[in-house]
Amino acid sequence: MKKETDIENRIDELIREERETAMNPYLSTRVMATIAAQQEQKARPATVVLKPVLAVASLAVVVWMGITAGTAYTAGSTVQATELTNDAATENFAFYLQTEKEE
Amino acid sequence: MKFFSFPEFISMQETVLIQSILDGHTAGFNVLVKKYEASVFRIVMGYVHQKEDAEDITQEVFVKVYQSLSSFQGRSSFSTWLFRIAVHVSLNALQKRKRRTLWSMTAALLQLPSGNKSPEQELSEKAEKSQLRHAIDALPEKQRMAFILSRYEELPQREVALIMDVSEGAVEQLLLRAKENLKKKLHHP
Repeated sequence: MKKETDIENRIDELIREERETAMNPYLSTRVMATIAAQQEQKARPATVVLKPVLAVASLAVVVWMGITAGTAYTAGSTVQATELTNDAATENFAFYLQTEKEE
Repeated sequence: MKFFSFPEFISMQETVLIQSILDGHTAGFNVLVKKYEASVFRIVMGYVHQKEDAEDITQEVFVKVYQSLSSFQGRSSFSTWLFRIAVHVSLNALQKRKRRTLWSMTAALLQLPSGNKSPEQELSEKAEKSQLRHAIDALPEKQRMAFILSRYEELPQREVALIMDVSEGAVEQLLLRAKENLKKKLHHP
């Protein structure tokens, strides 16, 4: 059985040791920096909300422009045009395809 | 808005200082942090027994105090209100880190010996301290609170009573029972 005073001394020793634990000397700086960061975040809630809103809005504008451009197109004339081609004036491609026979 | 220098903040009465912080002089809060950080740290150490955790919790305490400073009505002294918050934040943090306990115990035992003592001696001392910490941590909540406030921060019973919102006699009883419980636990671990 351990003596009572021994137990008390051991408890006192532990408490003394933990009480004397050195704290980070920059703890107050850390605290103030955290508070400043939180305040900064609070001060600009508009930008936090606006960012996704602007992204969605710009995407919607691009889609709308695409649809508008697509529906704005109308064919110049519905009357079928006849293509008049003078075959005699067409270049003879065979000339270019038979290069290996050239001397 | 009038600007105050650090010495001006220091010379202010606590209630005036708090009012000026609420008026937007955030820098004044640094004076309160510097004044009470060591006390809060010691109380938190009593709960968590680890320096790094105690520093993180102390920081959390002050951030919480800053956020709820407007709710401080001055019915008790600022230190009483602050220490009450420190106790609550420490208890909440302990709830959150229960899962980490096994790992931190193992890590503490595996720390390298300091050099002056033999590894066996070092290990047995660590085991003994761990046993003492366990005995303190295993005290019923109110006994533990009274014990930590009175032994770690060496607050008078009157102030402990104010923090715990009980009578001085009740604090005395809690301290006696805490002492008895610790002896029982350490006699028959």
